[in-house]
Amino acid sequence: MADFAELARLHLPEYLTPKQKEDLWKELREFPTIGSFYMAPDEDERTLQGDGWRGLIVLRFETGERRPLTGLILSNSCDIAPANPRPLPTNVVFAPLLALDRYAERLRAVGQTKQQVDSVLETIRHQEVTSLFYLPAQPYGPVESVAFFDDVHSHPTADFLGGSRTRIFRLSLPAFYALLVKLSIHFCRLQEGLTRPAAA
Amino acid sequence: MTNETASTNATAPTFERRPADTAPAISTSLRAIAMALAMAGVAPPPPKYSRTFGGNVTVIVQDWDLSGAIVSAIAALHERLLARSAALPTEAARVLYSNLWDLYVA
Repeated sequence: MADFAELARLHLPEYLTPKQKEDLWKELREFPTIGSFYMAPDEDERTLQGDGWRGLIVLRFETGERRPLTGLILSNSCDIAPANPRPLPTNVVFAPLLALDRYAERLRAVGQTKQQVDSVLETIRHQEVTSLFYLPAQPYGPVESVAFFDDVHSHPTADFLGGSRTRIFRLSLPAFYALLVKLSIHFCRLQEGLTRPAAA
Repeated sequence: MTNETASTNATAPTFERRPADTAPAISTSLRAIAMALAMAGVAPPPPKYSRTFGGNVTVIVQDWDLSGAIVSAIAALHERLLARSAALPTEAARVLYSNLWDLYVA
């Protein structure tokens, strides 16, 4: 355990000041309450993991329809950075944002009671649903929404970077770390309840 | 030989994520962090002492302690989220799945 902790330390951002580290520590302790979920806008044009970008395109499997929308970038920042040329084209992997108010409307439309709807929303807002990453409506953020890890799409990186696109938000450091933790919980299960004996 | 997937040779973007708003002043002292860690069963390394010729003693709390605290907080967050993890109720999940196209944020 000690070795693991030391390894983990090595991956923490070295450029943070002690004060910034202290802030990060406090925010992580208080999660899911994060004071500042998003960063203030800047001119940085890079596409980073955890960013929200408008201009990503989804294809509807049933009809082939395509639609530009806003999505949460799930690809790691390295693999989609133009500064890192790759021998083969890459894709930007993302999860479209889903508007929470419209979801609540749909729940009410099918007869869910106010108590049931409130309960669902509270669970989502507390980040308890492992397949959803909740994005609160805060300054410099999107409308209150969720990214659904079961609804993941990809967009060719070159097409995305060369097309019409707008960054809608960028996660603050504690929110970014929370995203990484939720991604790991959803996609990586060390305890899946199955013994996998190697083939003889 | 080129490895298509390994990122170890790639340029890792270095980026500082500053929050949007000025964070409120945090009164938590390093001593409090150390106490919290001790209560959580994680013993931080002892501080270093620096003695000057004048006989004054300066306590230097290493940056290492904060990094350890952050790692502990991430591990605790992981455990907390796992402990509270829940699935959407069946009807709520059905409504979500069947309305994805209409719920997308433009």
